[in-house]
Amino acid sequence: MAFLELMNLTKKYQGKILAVDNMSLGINENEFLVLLGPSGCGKTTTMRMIAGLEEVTEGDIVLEGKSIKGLQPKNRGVSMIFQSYAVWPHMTVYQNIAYALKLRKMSKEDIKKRVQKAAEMANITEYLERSPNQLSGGQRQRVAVARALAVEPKLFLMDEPLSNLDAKLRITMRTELKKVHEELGSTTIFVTHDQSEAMSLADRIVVMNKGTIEQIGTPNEIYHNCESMFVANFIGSPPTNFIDVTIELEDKRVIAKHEAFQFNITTHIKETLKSYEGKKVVLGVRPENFTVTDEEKKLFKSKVQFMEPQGSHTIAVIGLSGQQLKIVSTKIFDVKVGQQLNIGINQKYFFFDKESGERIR
Amino acid sequence: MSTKKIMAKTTFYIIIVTVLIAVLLPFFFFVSSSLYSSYEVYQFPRSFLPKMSFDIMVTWEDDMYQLHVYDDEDDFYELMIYTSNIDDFRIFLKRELSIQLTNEEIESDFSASKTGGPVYETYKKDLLYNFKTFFSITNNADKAILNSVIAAGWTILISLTLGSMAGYAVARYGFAGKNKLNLSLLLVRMFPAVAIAIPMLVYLIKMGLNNTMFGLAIVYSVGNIALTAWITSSIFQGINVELEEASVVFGASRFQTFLKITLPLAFPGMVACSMYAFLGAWNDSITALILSSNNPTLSLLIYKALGMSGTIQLSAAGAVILIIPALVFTFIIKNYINQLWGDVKL
Ligand SMILES: Nc1ncnc2c1ncn2[C@@H]1O[C@H](COP(=O)(O)OP(=O)(O)OP(=O)(O)O)[C@@H](O)[C@H]1O
Ligand SMILES: [Mg+2]
Repeated sequence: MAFLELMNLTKKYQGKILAVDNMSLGINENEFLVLLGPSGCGKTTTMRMIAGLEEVTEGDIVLEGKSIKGLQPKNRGVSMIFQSYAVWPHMTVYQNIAYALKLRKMSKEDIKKRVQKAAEMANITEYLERSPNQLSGGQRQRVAVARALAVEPKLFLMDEPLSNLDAKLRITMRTELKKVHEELGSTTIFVTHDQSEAMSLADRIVVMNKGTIEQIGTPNEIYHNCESMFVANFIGSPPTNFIDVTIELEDKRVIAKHEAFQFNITTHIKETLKSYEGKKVVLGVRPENFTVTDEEKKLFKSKVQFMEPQGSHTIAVIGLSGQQLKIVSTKIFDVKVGQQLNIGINQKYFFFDKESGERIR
Repeated sequence: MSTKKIMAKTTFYIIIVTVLIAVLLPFFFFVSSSLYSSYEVYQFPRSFLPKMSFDIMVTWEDDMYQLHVYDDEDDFYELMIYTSNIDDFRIFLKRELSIQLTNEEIESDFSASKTGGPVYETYKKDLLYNFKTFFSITNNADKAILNSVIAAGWTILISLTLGSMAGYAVARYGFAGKNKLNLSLLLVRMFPAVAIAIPMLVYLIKMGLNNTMFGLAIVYSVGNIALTAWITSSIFQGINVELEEASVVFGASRFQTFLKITLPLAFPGMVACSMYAFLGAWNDSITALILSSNNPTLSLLIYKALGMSGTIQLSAAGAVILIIPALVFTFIIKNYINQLWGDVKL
């Protein structure tokens, strides 16, 4: 059994709004798990149920083999970093960090030691006597981190802790959070809807959609091996291109056919696709898996509609039978809008079932 | 600066000044009236500021002293009283001019006029004469002040405790009929105090609480609880829920959280809120007349004194006595008043 186990966890607000739907998930000790998903998919709700701030409608939460579902938040051994930091403005930084320790009736010296240690890790030793009102957003965030560290919890919960920081500070703080995690090996659940944050922090990412889990996997698996159209669309920027194609069999060949192009499927997926003969499936191609190539190797010809230079690479928007595709290339920098390009495709493509949106494997 | 801007600024200041005058003029009127002597009150036109002293002239005719008071409006000495009885002079000086002198002082000052012609004197007025009179004619004024303080204290305590609990519930918990409760809270406020006071008298008598300040405070609190709930609920709403949730996650119970996090954060707003309770209790005389006429509060006492004496300067003194503690209270909490405008974000 995993360190933390969510078993068929379900949350209905006011008996009707289904926020989390039968979610099962195991989190290993020392793991950094990221819950990623669009707004309203139930990430915060999941966290709050684990913390004990929200009642569980159905299912169970098991930490170290014991159910914590019925426990008061304070008895669960979890600590949390809130999106608004939730640093108490009427206490000094020191008092903020010491609050939980005092409630645990620890001795003065022990409290002092713990606060000192936590403050050092979070890099705020020089602000201990200040009031939070005299701190910047980033510094307040560190106070929240120190406060969470000081209680030495079994589990860290972080709900979009970086979303109120500016872009630069976010990246700095995320490196620091990662460092703290590596030093302590603490088990962490981190919520975000920022995929680059998720990718850079996570041991494993849980992609959520409408209260259910779409896919669990390492950042690489999530990106290169999407389970569903939802994941392929949600992860990656620009997102995966989706093209409807018809599967046809000719002799021993399996062909994906589109009005503008067709190609021979050579990967192992060929066998599975045979059962889709004559049916429409969705071809998913990540922008960087289209290639700009020469006349012979091209799959189709297309006109450039927009160019979005990004410095290291260029995003080109091209047309294909009334549809727009986005391609990413590190080669085309001097292409003009309206120019014709020869577009090829490499073999890292996905096929999805048109009805269910599931990956065809 | 453009003409438009100047116009706007001028209008702004005109409005401000008008408001200030409207607020301060009655206040000025009361304070200055309380410092007049009886003689000044009945002069026409009345002087704008109260006199600090009187110039008098004493002459000796027909074996009697004749007392003249200088009238600066018409620039002559007006004959006020002539008698051979020194006691009468003492009483006249005290009652009409608020000048406190003993018979001996009067005798020695006046006697020179018997031989050396008119005697001119300038006597200092006792500015606090009306206040002293007020306390002497209302024999239990100090008890009444204490009563008022106690009644106001209880009212603040009761309405803040119950009101803030209700306000907290409205702010934090969703429950059926919440909006109706919100509205009905204000409805209570619409009942005239008298309408509540009479039925309440029956209850208070049953509980043996009539003529007590606690009983009075209960009645004052009826309207204030609603108002306090209304105001505090918006204060509590202004406090980020995550601050409380953080406390709960970090080991506090709900109650500890309320005491250690919510209350300190809401405190400034609640202090400001206490002003309503204070003023409501402090200024009321009607309810007190019904519920506690044998054990009056200051404001009831003044109300009664007005009926008895009927002189303007004495009533004014009573009003000032009533205003001062209210001003002191407002001054103490002045730093918190701004919270009522909702200019806090936590
Ligand atoms: N207290 C509540 N009462 C009713 N419905 C709620 C409540 N809190 C959340 N919901 C609903 O539950 C769903 C999940 O909300 P949740 O806050 O968990 O989303 P989230 O994934 O954290 O979104 P975000 O990224 O915007 O923070 C949403 O549809 C939301 O409207
Ligand atoms: Mg959320």
